[in-house]
Amino acid sequence: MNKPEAGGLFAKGQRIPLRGVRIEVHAAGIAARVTVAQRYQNNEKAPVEAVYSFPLEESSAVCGFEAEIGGKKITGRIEEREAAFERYDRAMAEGQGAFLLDQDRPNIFTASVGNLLPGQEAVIRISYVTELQQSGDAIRLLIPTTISPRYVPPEQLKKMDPAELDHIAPPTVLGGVPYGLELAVDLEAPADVREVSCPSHPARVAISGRKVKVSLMGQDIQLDQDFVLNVALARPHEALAVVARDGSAGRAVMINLFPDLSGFQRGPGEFLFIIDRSGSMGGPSIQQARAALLLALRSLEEGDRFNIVGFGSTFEPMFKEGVPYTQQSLEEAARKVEGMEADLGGTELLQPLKFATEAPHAAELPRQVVLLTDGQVGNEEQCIELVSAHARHCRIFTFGVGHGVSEHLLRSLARATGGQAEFIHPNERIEPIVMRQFRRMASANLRNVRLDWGGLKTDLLAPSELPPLFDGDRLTLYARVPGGATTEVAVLADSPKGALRFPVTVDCEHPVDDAAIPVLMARKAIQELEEGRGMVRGSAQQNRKEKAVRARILELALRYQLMSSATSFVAIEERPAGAQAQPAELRRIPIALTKGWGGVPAEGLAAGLTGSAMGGPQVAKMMVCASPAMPAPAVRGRRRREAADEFMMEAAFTPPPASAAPAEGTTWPRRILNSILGGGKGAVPAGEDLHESLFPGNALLELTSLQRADGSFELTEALAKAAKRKLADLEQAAKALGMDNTLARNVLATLLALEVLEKEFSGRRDEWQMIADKAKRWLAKQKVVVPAGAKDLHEWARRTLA
Amino acid sequence: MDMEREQDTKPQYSIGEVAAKTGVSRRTVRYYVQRTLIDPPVGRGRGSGYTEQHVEQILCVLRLQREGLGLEAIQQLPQQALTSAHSAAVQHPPTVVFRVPLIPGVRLELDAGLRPPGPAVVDALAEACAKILESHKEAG
Repeated sequence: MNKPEAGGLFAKGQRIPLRGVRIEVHAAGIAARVTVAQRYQNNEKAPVEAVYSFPLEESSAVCGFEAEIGGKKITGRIEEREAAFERYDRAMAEGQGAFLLDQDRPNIFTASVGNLLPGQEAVIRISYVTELQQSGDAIRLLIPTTISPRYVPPEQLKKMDPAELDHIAPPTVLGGVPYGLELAVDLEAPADVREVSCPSHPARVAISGRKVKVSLMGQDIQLDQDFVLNVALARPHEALAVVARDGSAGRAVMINLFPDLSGFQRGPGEFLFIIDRSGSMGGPSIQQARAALLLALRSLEEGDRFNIVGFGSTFEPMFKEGVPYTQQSLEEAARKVEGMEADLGGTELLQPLKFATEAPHAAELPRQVVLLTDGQVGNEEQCIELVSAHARHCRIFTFGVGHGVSEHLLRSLARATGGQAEFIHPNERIEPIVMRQFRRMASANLRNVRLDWGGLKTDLLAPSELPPLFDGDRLTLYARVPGGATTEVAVLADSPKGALRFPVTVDCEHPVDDAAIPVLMARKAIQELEEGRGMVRGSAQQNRKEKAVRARILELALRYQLMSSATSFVAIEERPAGAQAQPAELRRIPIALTKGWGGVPAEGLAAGLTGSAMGGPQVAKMMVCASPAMPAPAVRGRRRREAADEFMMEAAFTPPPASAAPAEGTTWPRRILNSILGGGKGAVPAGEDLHESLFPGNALLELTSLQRADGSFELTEALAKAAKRKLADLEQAAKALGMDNTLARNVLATLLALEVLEKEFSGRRDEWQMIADKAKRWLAKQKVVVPAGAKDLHEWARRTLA
Repeated sequence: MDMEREQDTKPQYSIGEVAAKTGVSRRTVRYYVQRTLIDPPVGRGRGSGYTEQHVEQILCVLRLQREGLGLEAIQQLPQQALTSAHSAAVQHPPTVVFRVPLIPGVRLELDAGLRPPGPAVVDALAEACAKILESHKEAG
């Protein structure tokens, strides 16, 4: 915990009673137990009520709430949401110590710490269990620390409950908050650990066999971005079933399968890319989204159709309707994508989603939607409802881009449509992530996917419908069984190559005592219900159905003592007569603006603000978070000024430091030239070769970005440079193929690219395998005669290019 | 104490009842109290509660929000202004303060609301409307 700073801790002239947050993660196998401890201290002369809204992982099963005050520990109890609030409110009126935890969104929670007496300190501990995200041999831990400002559409803003709005859009400050974060991870992986990376924070990492210990370096770490930890295992997971006791005789079963679906070739598809160009995407987010989109475009195949939609307050499809994927359409799209900026205002996500789900499309092609966004919207429910209604013909794959993405929105959109979500932290390489997503999109067209319980009877299934199977991704299912014997459970499917079966043994005779399993099972069932799926049947009348769903959520949450949309945690410290507090003053805890949000340089701003007149560390002006229009700072300066947020204004117009200018002799990226020349799209002709790289410093991306739509490569100076060869030598070598000169050059260039991939990037095969497969398919179509003396073309190329 | 004043100081409603009467959540009632948008509940401890005046105040805040005022702005209005604005709004329809003739038979009317726009805004609006009318005239 951070030591209190002398003098400071003010917001809007009021003290901030939150002194620090400590997060501890204990992970074993595929589940993690996390404790979030918040320390509050009242340094004022009157009692205060601290209200702090904060994020947790969206699938967290929040199962513990404890307050420690005056040496006493008070355990919170789950109650129906309104009943819990009434108890809290009554205790507040009576001057008792009162503590309440509300779920405002599946990933946004609010803690109210009531009647903290002058000088008093309280520590709130929130515990939750969560599944570790996993794909192939990689485990990913993502812990959000701040709530990004979000765009709430005006019509939604009018209808929203004011208290709810205050919770999902808490006061946000520029330049950091005066309470800090400590974080420690203790992880025991199911296999030896090969590599650990923490792209979000400087961290101390210790690896010993399967064990990993991680802690943040430095003190007073700002709570302004997600904590991300990637753990690579020496071997992928294996199928595993865990059976835990649930109640006196019941069993909660967790099944984990890792289906091997490699080796399938996808058929043509229709791809719709939706890229968020709202103001909040300014800075690193839009840069990464652009790079990911360019890479994704290169991963399409001839026969596919595609379109690109940029959106903000409005949305603009690039083409009237989906166009065939050709060299010409690829070049046109890439050129336009390079010019995309975060300049379209608010985040009206619903409209492009309507376009994506409702626009007519080629009926014979399955529609795949790829959404790149930070997801900062307040109408998540509407968006999820819309896509759920079209889930049968439209799968959504999402990329969360930025330091503080709305994990809930991105995962739930994907979950509702049978897609998958990926997250790209600004310090991460995009290639493995984009390719992983494209491998999913290319996954086999499986039919009749079903679960064979091998005779086991189940009285609860979570999720109630089988999620999609993706190659290498973990498939996790939960069930409650009344008892039973040892049996084999299997997922079955029909594929183009025949019947598939993925089995696992479930031992119900020897259950373990692991409280996490029943809790995760219940949370999964609640999540389904909260997102409008699940098993509630009966009345078709909307009102009655909603009541039935809420009743089922309440039943599960009370039974398993879990936070949900229908329940809250409440804890009361009964104070003796005479020790009750006078009416408390509200202290709303401000949160830090997400790092890099909208391109605002937070660090520079903080440095500029700290020596200001008041002496102590001042908190910058409050920002309106739920604003109908959330413009990019750089382009809508006037609106900012009207909002009296001049700190932001100054930041937006501060010229870049001298070090930002390229060194003499290097080339400016085209879009920077365009902005300097002031001509926007036309200032530098798009076709003019500036020998610039779209991915400077990234040799693999530089090489793969040269691939043409048909899979071939052209013999150009850029390719020769990427392969570290002389163009003249390569041109000479191409003549040995004894065929039409242009074709020979392309064949040689393609062979060269494959050779470079194999030699230089063998450790990153996952990132280029799809590119290489596409190149090989093109080569096979050319029917090239293997030069005399060579076994095959590749062997000839290796020898010739050695 | 006369009957009316007694009604104002004696708790009549629980937080749940006042929420139901005004159509907001219990949390919002509390939130309005915390933000000093409405008076704190009357009484102390178990005997505390809300009165008809709280109901009036909540309805007033809701109306002002619908008018487009942010909570910060509402908070800055004097309490008396809040109550009188509410009563006035209930009793009288909105007043038109600007009437700008555009073309024969068409005029621009602006409701004063609680924040009358400045003359520059009115001019700009009138100019924009005139342009639209002009373009339609040409097209027609």
